[in-house]
Amino acid sequence: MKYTKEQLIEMVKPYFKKDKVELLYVTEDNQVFYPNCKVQASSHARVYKLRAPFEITRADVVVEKTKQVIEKPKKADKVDSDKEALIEIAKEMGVKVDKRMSVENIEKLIKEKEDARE
Amino acid sequence: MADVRTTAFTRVIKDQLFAGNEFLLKSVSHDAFVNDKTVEIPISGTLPDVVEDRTLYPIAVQERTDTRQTYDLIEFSLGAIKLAEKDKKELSYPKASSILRQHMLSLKNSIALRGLYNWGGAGLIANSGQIVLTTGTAAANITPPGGTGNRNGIDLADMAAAALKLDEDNVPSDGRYMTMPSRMYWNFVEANKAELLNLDYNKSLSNGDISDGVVSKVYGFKIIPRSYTLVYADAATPTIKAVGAATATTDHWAAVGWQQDEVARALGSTKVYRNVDDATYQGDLYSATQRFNNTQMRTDGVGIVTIVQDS
Repeated sequence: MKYTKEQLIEMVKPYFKKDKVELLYVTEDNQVFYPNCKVQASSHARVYKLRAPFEITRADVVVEKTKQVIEKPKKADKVDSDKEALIEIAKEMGVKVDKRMSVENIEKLIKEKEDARE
Repeated sequence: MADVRTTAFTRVIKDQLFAGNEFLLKSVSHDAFVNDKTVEIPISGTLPDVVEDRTLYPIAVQERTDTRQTYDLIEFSLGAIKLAEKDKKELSYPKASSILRQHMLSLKNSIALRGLYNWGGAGLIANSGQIVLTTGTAAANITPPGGTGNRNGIDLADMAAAALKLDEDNVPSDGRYMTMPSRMYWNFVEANKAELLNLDYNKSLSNGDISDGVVSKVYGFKIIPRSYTLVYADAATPTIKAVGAATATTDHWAAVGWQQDEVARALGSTKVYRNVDDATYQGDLYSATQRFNNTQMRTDGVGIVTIVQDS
């Protein structure tokens, strides 16, 4: 199976978890090579009649990540981040909350605490 | 008067070690075609149905459509090494012959890895039983290089599943071989030694088998351990990794089993190039090439089975 460079960027992200990895050579069939194996990458592409290996850098992966952040978050993601922020606020106020509680219930407990303080 | 001690220089150099590639010879020889560009293997198409007590005539006539498997020869080329004039004169050991020997072994090693990739790679489909996942006891020390965590060892049941797949595909029961990563093999032997000794797993080997690197015979497979075989990426259907490809912590070792009439190879001899007393480099230059490629004989991979680690 052959993949595009954009698809491969998504697929090789785990390899960049290692701090030292800055560049990868990736062939169309999703075979990933470190720079010290560039020769093997080229050989693999030639022998199996594939395009020359793509050079995928850490910057390519970061750009992709940035794009994701800029994109409007999904509703579920937004709810999760709202809830996490509320849990943080509640903890700072000394309100006991649980991750399994709904956003509305957490908000209610925070309001009760605020009312009690007043 | 104090003794005068001198430094003794041995004339034997300890060369780099490489794993063997004798397993490649357990295949149909296409060595005669090694200087051709492409080798083509015809594969017969389907036959008409057999009818008992035929009543309808004339019989419908059809043509048999044959297919083919092809592979291109590859020239493996090793970079040049310079032997300086100084080294030729001053060293105690024959560096030139060491370089030549190492060139040949290095090419053999690259060829062996390419050969395993070709036999174990294309055409294998997990759900048709050609990839058997290991089900033995999990162990931490049997991962491929860079791997972490536990992997299931090979169990006798996994060997039986591999043999069963070949049986079901009507593959001949003689001439079955399996190249297994040494870490997998010795874990397998340790975990199953009681049963293996009952099978007399290494008592029926001929001298020829032993010189070919075969160390035991289990459920019809002659097993050839090797320090490095194939690595597969972890997935529901494991995917093979190319020679030299980066490994991940979740990767798995794989053993490759085959029947010798269902795989082919064209293996040439090593050609060594020498520039003796080269004026530009003021020394000797050496490099080498070797032509090779191999293939599964059928496009659907019948005759090959791979045992891949699971976790």
